[in-house]
Parts: sequence; C-alpha cells; structure tokens
Amino acid sequence: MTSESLFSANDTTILRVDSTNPEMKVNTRAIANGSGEKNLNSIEPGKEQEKRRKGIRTVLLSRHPGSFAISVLLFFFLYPVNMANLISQDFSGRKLMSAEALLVQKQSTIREFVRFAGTKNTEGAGEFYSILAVILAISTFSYLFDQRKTDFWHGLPVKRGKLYRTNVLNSFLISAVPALVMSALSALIVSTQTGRAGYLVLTALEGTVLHLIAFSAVYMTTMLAVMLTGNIIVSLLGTAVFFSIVPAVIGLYPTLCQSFFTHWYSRLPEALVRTLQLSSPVLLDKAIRFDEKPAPLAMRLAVALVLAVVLYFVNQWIYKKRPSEAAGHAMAFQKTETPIEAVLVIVCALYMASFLHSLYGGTTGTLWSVFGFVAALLLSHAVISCIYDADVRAAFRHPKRLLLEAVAGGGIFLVFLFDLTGFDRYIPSASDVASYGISSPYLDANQVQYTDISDIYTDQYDNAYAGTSQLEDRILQRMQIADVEDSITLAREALTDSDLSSERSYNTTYVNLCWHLKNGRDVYRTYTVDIDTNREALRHIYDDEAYKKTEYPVLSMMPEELSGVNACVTGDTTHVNFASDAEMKTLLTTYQKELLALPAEECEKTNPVMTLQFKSKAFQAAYDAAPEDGKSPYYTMSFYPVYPCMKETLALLKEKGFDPMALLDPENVKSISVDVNLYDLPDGAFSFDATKAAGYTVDAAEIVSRTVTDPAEIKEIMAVATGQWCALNINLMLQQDYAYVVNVNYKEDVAKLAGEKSAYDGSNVLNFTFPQGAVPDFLKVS
Amino acid sequence: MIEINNLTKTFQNVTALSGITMTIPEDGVFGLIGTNGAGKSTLLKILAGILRETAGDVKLDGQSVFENPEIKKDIFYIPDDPYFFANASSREIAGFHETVYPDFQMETFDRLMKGFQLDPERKVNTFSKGMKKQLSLALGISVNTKYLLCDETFDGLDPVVRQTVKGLFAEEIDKRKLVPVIASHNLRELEDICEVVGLLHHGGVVFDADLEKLKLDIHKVQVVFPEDWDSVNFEHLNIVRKENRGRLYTLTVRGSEKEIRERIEAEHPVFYEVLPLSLEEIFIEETEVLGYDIRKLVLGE
Repeated sequence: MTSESLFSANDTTILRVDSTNPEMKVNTRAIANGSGEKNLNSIEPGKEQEKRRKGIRTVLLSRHPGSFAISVLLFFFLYPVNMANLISQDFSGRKLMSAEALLVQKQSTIREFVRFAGTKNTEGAGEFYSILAVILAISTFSYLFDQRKTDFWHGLPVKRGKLYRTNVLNSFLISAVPALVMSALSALIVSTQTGRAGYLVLTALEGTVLHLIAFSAVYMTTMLAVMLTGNIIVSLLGTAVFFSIVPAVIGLYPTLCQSFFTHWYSRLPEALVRTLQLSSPVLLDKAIRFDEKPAPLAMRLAVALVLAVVLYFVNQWIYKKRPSEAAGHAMAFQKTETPIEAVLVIVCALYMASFLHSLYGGTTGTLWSVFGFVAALLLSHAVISCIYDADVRAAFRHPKRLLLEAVAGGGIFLVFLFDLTGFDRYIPSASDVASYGISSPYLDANQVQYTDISDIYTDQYDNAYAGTSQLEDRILQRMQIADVEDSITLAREALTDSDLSSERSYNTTYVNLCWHLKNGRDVYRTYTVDIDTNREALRHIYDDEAYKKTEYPVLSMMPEELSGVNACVTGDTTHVNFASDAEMKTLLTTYQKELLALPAEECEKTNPVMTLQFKSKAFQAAYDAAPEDGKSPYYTMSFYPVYPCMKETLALLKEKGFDPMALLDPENVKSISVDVNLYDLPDGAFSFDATKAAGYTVDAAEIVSRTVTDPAEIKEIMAVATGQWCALNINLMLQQDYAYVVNVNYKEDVAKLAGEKSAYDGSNVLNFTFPQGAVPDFLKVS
Repeated sequence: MIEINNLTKTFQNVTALSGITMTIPEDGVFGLIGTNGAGKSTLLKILAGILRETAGDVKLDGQSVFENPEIKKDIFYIPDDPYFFANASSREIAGFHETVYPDFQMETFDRLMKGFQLDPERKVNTFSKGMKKQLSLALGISVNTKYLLCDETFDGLDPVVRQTVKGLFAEEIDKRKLVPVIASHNLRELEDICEVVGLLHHGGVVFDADLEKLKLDIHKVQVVFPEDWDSVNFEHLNIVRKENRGRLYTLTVRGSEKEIRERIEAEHPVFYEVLPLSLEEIFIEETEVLGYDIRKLVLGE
C-alpha cells in the first residue's frame, strides 16, 4: 500500500458537501495545491454550536450506561417491587375480609406506605440513595484516577468547568428521573388496593425530593473526596472520612471530658445534639436520634441544600486547580496531606486514649491511656503514610509530620490526662455564685414521672414516649437555690474524700450541680458524695422551697389549670370523683402545701403510701387527642408521692374512699413472713444458732424465714416497716435493709382495704422493707 | 507558531522540564527527540493543554493553551498509549470527536479507515496496539486541526504503514498547513520527515535547529596523517570526538565543511574524507557531551 492509494491524484477536496445533512448548507474547504489555505465556510455558528452543545451532554450521558442501569434497577426494586410485595401480603385475603376489616387494612397499608416512601424514611430508603450517590460521584469522575483517561478528557477542547457541570447534571438526571418515576409508580401500585392515588403519589414524590436533596449532599461530599484524591481506594477512604470526621471532632471534647474528668457532668446540650444530628451528610436523610427529638425536617433539608450548593462550587474550583498528573496518586494536592493526616491521627489517638482510660479507670487507666495514645498515634500515622505513598515501607518516612502530630495531639492529651486546666479541682467561691440547681437520685429518683406533656415525642413509628434526655438539664438550669453553701460543701467533701471515686463501695450517691455564676456563666459538675457525711446538707437542700418548686412542677400548677385527679395506691390507677371543682382544687392546694412542707426526714424513714396524678387541662386535651396507641406515656406521667405525714391530703382522699393508711394498720394484718438473706448481712453478723434461736427456719443455704402471727409483734413490725407498693414513686432517701424481705399478709384484699378498684381481686399480700437500723430486735438474726 | 518561553514543569520533587525556550515554526514537521526521561511527553502534554506549566509560558499562535478551548480546537494530541472508550467502535469514537472538534471530517475518517483496512464498526478493544495507533492517526488527521502532536506515534507501526503516514503528513502539510510535532526515539524515521528538530535532555534543551543546518554544522572526518604529524595541531579544530587506529583518525568536528577541509588540508594529510552525520549520530554525539554515553552503558566502558 502506498500513500497514493489513499488519495486519488485528482482528489483535491478533503470534505465533500454532505447532501444527506439538511443542516449543512455549505461546508467545503478550498484547497489549492501547495497553498495550504484553510477556508472553512460553515453553517451559522450559533446553530452548529447548539448542535454540538447538546451533543456533549448527550455523549457524556451515554458514557454511563452502567450507572443508569444501576439506578433504574435500584429504584425499581426499592419502590414498585417492594410495594407490590406489600400489597400482596396485606391484601392476600381481601375476598374474605369484612368491609370494616378491609377499611382498617387499607388505612394500615397507607400508613405503612407513608412511613416507607414519605418523608419519615423509617424503612431505610435513604441508605439506598446514599449508596447510589457515592457510586455515581466516584464513577462519574473515575477518569481522574487514570492517567490515560485524564489526558484524554483534559486534552479535549472543552473547559473543565463545562465537563464538571455536565457530569454533575448527568448524575442527577441518572438518579432523579428513575427515582421519581419509580416512586410514583409504587404509589399507583398501592393505590390499586387502597385508593387515594393522588395522596400517595404526592407523598411518594415528597419523600423522593427529600431523599434527592440529601442525595445531593452525599454526592457532593463524595466528590470532594474524589477531587482531593487520585485513586479509587483513597477516594472511598476519603469519603468515609468526610462522612465521619465532623461528628468525630464534635464528639471528641465531651468524650475526653467524660473519660478524664471525674466531675464532668455528662450532658449533651441541645445545641450539641442538633449539631451532631446535622454534622454528616449521611445523617441528614434520616431522623437520627441522638436525642428523642430529631432535628426538624426543614432544618435537615436546609443544611443538606446549603452543603450541596457550597460544595458544588468548591468542587468545581478544586477541579479547575487539580493537576492532571495527580491521576493514580493517593492525593491530588500534596499540600493537603499533612493537615488531613494530622487531624485523623490526632483524633484517632485521643479517642483510643479515652476509650482505654474509661475501660480501666484509675492508675491502670492512666497507663493504658498513655499506651493507647502512643499506639494509635503511631499506627494511624503509619497507615496513612503508607496510603499516601502507596508503599508499606513509607510507614515512617515522614518523621516531621509524626513529630507535629505527637506534639499537637500529645499536648491535648496531657491537658486532659493531668487536668492541667483544673477542671476537677474547680469549685466556685460562694460569693461568685448567684444560685444553683441540683439533681440527685437520692433526693428524688422520679423526675421521669414529673415530665411535662411537652416532653412527649413520637418516634418514626408513631410510638409515643415521654422524653427524658434533656429533662435533667432543664431542671438544673431552671432551679435557683439561693443558699449556695450546701452545694459548695458537697463539692468540697467530694473532692477531699477521694476514696469515693475508687472501687470501694460506700453509702454514696451522685449529685449533679449547676452553679449559676454571677457573671452569667453556668458551671456543671457531678460529684459522688457520701450520704452519711453529707446528710445534713442533703436534707437542707431537699427542704429548700426553690428545690421543690423546680423538682415538682405540680407545685406551680394553678388550681384553675386542673382538669382531674387520678389516684394510685397498689398498682391500678383510679379516677378520683369530686363533687365539685372546688373540692378538686382544694385537694390540689392542700397537697401543694403539704408537699412543700414535706421534710427529708420523713422520706428517710418511710416510703410514700400512694401517688396522685394531677392532670392539667392541657394534659387532658393532649391525652384526648392522642391516638389509642399513643396514649401510653400519659399513664405514668405527673404522678406525685403522698407520704404518711401528709395528713390533710390523706384525710381528703379518705373521704373519696382512698385509705392507703389502712395498709399500715396492724389491725388489718393477719400475719407477716420475714425472709432474711444471710449473705446480705454484714460479714460475721449472723450465726445459724442465733438464727434458729430467733425462730427462723433454714430454707436454703443462704435464706432463713419465719412467720409472725403475734399481734404485738405484728404491731411492732408495722410501726417501723414501710411499704414498697408505690411503683410509680421510688424513694432512695430511705436506706433499706436489703437483708430482710417482709411480706405482710392482710385479712382481706388489699385493694379493698386501700379503697381502689383492682383487676387482681383477691391479692392480700404486700411487700414491705425495714429502714436501716430499724429492724425489730426480735427479728434480728445476729 | 508555538512559542515556548522559559518553560519549567515540576512534579512534586521531580523537575521534568527546566527553563525550556524554543520555537516550533509553522512550516514543516518538528521532530522532538530526547533521551529517556528527557521530558518529551511532558512538553507535548503542556502543548496540548493537559498539563499546566509550573513556570514560564507556552503560546500557540499567541494564545495560552491551558483551559482555552478555542485554541485547543486547533490541537490534537496522540499519546503513546491512547485511550478509547470501553466497548466503543471506531465509528462511535469518531462520532464523539465529531462532537467536540468543529472541523472533524467523517468522510476523511472513513477513507483513512478504509485505507488502513480497519473496520470502523469493530470494537476498539479488539484492536492490536498498531491498529490503535492507526486509528489514532486517522482521528488525528480527520479532526483537521492545525497542530498535531504525536508522542511515539510511529512506534508500533509496520514499515508500510509508516511510509503511508509520512506521505499523509506530507499531503496534509501541503494542503492545509498542518504542523505536526512528533516525539520519537526512531531518529531514522524522523530524519526523513522533519525539517526542524529539538533535542531535550534531562528537562533542558540541547539544541533546537533546522535539521539541514544542523547537519551542515557538524561532520565526520576520516583522515590519515603522515607519520611525523603532531597531534597538537588538532587545537584549531572544534573536535567533539576523536578516535584513532594507528594513523587513521575518525573525528567528529563542528564547523562548516569548507572550514574543516581547509583546516585538515593545512595539516597535509595522506588521505581524508568528510562525511555527513545522520540524525542518530548527531543525537549520540550531542548527548555524549552531556554525559549520556550509550556506549558506556552497553559496553561497560
């Protein structure tokens, strides 16, 4: 073959007019042998340009048939197939259903569909969008990982910005079109059985739009990793880093405090919780619950949109700056290696140190935390260095970087390890404190019972709960006890008695304090305090009006707010019938007076005998409005204790038929059985001979028991024993003697005695306990 | 015209090009030769707008290339190992190029494919290396760009196709002032086609000159001197290399032929002959001066 055979001797034109192309009016090149003049007369530039512009987008789109196929298949199975399966299961016995049952089923199926395809996203649809976003972001720009491909695309007469925009748009088309079509189709499929096609389609489209907005945030975040890296493995790793690094950094400070500061009050302020919920693009699609209340949908969407838009422009800018020769390398920009590595290494090392310190505690924990810090520092540095250089031998090839990480991370670590800021030692002086709030299970362990209806939340499955995670925070913030000395005393005692922090068990409790400083700052601390040493201070705190008014919201209830009262003695809740509103309000005001006056000493020697639920009008309205399967939180909320010393309240209730004091009356007692678990007694506190002499029979190796029927003995027991039937109110101020289990056998049904309705008619046994040191002598086994 | 002014390109810690200044004229074929790792591919990629220079500037017809689609429409780059879409046929690839290159001529493409005896409907991933190069050349000519940058393009072509391609280039140069820039190790091939050559070595330019003028400036002389001849008399000759077997000297000398003859004759040799150097010989001589002595590598001298 010679060159002449390719070109005929008379062929002086390179291009002939293409008569089949109606757009091309004239397109000839004037060739003069040897002149070499290029004279192109083409059709109007605008039309030709438009043809090519559309062509580029179409051509680029056609380069991703695999991605399109994945998208279509994914959404096909996620939506239409899934929903076809749902209606097949739900309506398989449709012909046998009654009209009513069919209606119920339809409503149930609609609810199920809404949960799945709507904005609640309970069934994991969002995860599929996130996975697709990662796949598309990486595959669309995968040419950046290959030198040949990069050279090809960057050698074309197309600006990088245009390549970027076109590819991003194509990715969204590839995902959005199938998603919208398939979700609408699934709605139509469901509507064939349930009707309400319009509503279902709209719900599905709303949910799909939510997912696509979150998808865009995930996509853009993944693309950031792609733009900063040069191969697919590192891109995937980078994607994982970008998804997790912000929550990790945000969570690092409270984690370090929790691990290293003994007196750190473990709270997650609402602002921190919100930030965590919004800190990763993969969380924005879901109503993530670090707290009972997820970030509102509008907030998540706004964050996702802003993140996507900002990253769109950031990624475009990075792409334009990205050197083509980065293809195949771990990182596209060498200057980013050190800062990225430093953050990852320091975060890893500090988390490991925290983990090991929490695991072991004490001196052992300190040693382990040092080991953990150093090991994690070296390992993570080595791994990242190997990834950067794609060479195992590069593990320690960057000593300066390692030194920087060791110094920076080590500095932070030492600050926490040795409490260089004096966090644990800090106690404000009384003159700096305006007031304080306190919370302790010893003082009252029933904060959950006192929750307000505003704390009720529904989860993604429409189940209602009484929220508690922010409850203690709010109490601490609202409570303003002016006499601050007790709080300072508790703190000082806790700091001086360091044994309380060790493994030895004492008669201790923890207190959470919030000092409201005069400069406007709130300082939170947690202390483990010895009850015996600090009993006076604790009593004083409990008796403080400011404490009670914050701890017991009922004390702030105005009589006109009251809607009704329920009473609970041994288990069942019974509505209290009043002759008039005035009578009801009198009960409230009487109870408020007596609760406010309730001394801590009373709580130390006896349990409450019943509980009262004071329902506000708002409470009642909320209860009435709640669906049947959403009423459960209301059954245990707002129950307050009634102690034997609240005589006026008890008298009012007796008039209404409630007489819990009858359960303390020895006249109503037939017998009392006492079981003693010998191993709960102090070492050496018993002997079997003394036990037998006291009238006990040995039931087993560790339990002895006896039955008391003598009325005098019964009376003596009932004078000191205290009932444990109030499940809705736990009293930890009562220091029980756990060795003795007392069961009182009544002459008749306890519910009748107490004056309440009971579903368990015939029960005439109640459990009692002795306060410590109150066991009658004749019962003692030692 | 391509103007390269003090061009430097570094990759992390490696300097691929260092302060290169040269001009690639519009008439004729420019041959870019160089040792391994000299920076030829890097230079071509910068000319193609793929890589961005670290320092200096590159202008094609007075315009910068990087991120300039208008000027890039006049450039087509054929890499040593070209990339084609997976599972695409030659026709589809040509269709893509037609989209992005405004002057692409499908008829030319078809004619060239027919001439190369390549099936345009066949998947490119079934082509051999040589066939892919032919396809690249067919595309490169069909896009009708002014500049055609070829990186080791002649490697992998059989001798007949090589000759054919040379002929095509010649015709295109004649017809539309195509400016091919060819990087190659195959100096014998380049010698036939290039008018101007540039030699790169370790990122720098050794020379950049018209080939004929280059050949006129360096010659091989074989000379036999009389027995009493004093070798000190070589001083007035600009000798690049000197070898001798007895009284037979083989000299590589810079200078015009006339000057060399005069100087040699002044020494009254018994016999002498002035021979032209091939491009390959010029390449070896010039790079040996810079320490790149292939003979040492091969013979262990």
